[in-house]
Amino acid sequence: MLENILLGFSAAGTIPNLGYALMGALLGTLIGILPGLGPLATISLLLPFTYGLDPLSALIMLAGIYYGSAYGGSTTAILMSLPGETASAVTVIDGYQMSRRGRAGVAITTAAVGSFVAGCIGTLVIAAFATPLTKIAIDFGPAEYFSLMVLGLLGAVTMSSGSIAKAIAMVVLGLALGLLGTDVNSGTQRFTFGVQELWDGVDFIVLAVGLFAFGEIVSTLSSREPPLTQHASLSRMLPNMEDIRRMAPAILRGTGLGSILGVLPGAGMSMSSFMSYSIEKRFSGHGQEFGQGAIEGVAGPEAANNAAAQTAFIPTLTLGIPGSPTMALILGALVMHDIQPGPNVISTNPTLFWGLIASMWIGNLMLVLLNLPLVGVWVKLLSVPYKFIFPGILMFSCIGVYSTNFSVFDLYLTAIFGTIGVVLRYLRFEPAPLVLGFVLGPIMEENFRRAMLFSGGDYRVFVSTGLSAGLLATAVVLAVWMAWNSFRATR
Amino acid sequence: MYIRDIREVLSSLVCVLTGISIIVMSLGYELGTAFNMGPGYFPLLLGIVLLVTGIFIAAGAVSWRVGTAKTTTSFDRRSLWALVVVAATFVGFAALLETCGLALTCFVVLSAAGMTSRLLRPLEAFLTAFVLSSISVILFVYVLDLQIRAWPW
Repeated sequence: MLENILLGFSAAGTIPNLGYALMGALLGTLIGILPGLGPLATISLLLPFTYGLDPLSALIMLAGIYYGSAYGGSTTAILMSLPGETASAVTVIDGYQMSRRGRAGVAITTAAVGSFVAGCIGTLVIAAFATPLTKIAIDFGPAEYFSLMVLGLLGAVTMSSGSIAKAIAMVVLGLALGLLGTDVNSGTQRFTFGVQELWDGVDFIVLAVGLFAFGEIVSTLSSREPPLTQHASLSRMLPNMEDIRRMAPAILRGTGLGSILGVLPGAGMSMSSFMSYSIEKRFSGHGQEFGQGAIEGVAGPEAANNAAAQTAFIPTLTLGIPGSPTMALILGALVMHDIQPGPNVISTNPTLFWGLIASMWIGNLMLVLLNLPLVGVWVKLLSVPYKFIFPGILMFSCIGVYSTNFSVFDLYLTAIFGTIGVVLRYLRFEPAPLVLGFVLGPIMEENFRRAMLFSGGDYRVFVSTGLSAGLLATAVVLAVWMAWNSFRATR
Repeated sequence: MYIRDIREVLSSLVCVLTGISIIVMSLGYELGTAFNMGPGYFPLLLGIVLLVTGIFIAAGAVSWRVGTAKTTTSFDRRSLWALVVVAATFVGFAALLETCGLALTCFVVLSAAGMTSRLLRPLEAFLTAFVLSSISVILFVYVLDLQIRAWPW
């Protein structure tokens, strides 16, 4: 294992390659930080820059872009309540609250450190366990996937700070929204109301801007006292000892969870941060602070997400199954550079495989080196009075939404979802569970259908294997615990 | 019987109505069987869960004991106005963009949003809109080369 890693580093760690990693991370961060341009948009924008490079340098630059954009998405989530991807919808909850309490710098630093630690451990995990982890991905049949998603969605319910019934309603509504569009199996248009633009479903960015950024601007504009302007001092930007003591275990738990879930294509990456959040809320010992700026609520999910982003390379490379649209883009780039994903990729092309793993670590390192000094710049942005900031957020949101499909219809749709979001917010529904439901909706239906097809329509398939039954049992325990808690709370 | 909180009643209503519409729409698609599911099967289940959840919320919203109803809603005109301003920005942006180009659209829409939000004075709003629209054209059209029309011509 050690010599493999050394092989990777000797291939990837040359001076020009480090330069490409730094440039990738810089460009990724700069574009990823624009509100509305999430990792997917960032990578597709920057992909052409890597075409002219030799394969390994291209991969290294791509890794830099990948982490840079993901990190940029977390930064906008913390500063402006604008998540760029599914995982950042979790970071918004406590990260934005920390930011409103003048601790934006701490939140961003926590995200960076959490991501870096998770990235380092994730790299080691890939190096050591790539082959056995591939087996986990293969062992996961449709029934196991479905059960895992039930567990994950229930986890999303526990993270809500309000009523459980409302969180369940949001999850279900999200699942239904995810189904909107053309059914892949039958070609039926579902919930499209005859609108042709809806045949492909709703884009994540439309939902994210509508439910988070839109609602946040409305609520800030309508608050009576003018939004406070923050004057950042360096000492408040960096985490103090207490912060570090609290974030460390959260980062480690998040990394462990993310490393395992990331291997599962499709569901794993988006679920990891949500599950990490609910675990932290339950076990960190500061559960009552969650939703009001708990540092664990940023550290855990960010670490989980980055670890999952790391191990998500395993199914992408060894099985050729990309776990997310972003991964699909990267897979495309790999194929373009003549790397054929498959079970043999490790043995046939060791330099590239280990080089890729080394470059992921280098990408992570560059990200931290680059971003710790930049934290101050981002936080300075908050000292600009809000009245000058909100037109900017509006503009970037509009352009971000439009540039996803170059369709004005998406902008109208954002206005509609934004309005629905404001009403839901007023009725004290929380948007985060809806986002997870939305992302998992199609995957969940697909696996439900498949499992039932394999079993001949027998519902017992979900308890027939130990893994699936175990996941469902955990879900039941979680549900009972939730019901008991809310019962106690109402007494 | 009295209503504890009118918002809870409204929430329950939202869930029940959405649940019923999902159920009705799902019944319009082919249901299939558990063995071979049609496109309506899973959505139907979702609709039922949403409906049941809505009823649960309703149960928590009313109380059978004697008490005073809390039926005030606090959705004031300020929030409504903010909602209108933000929604109008998105709609205006969509309506103008493909005919007027990015530069003019940003300038018009953002200065309107700035002024109507009552946070910015007209001059400040125009200046902010001008700066932002310049940034957007330079950044998105010339640096990032997005396929967005920049000018009306």
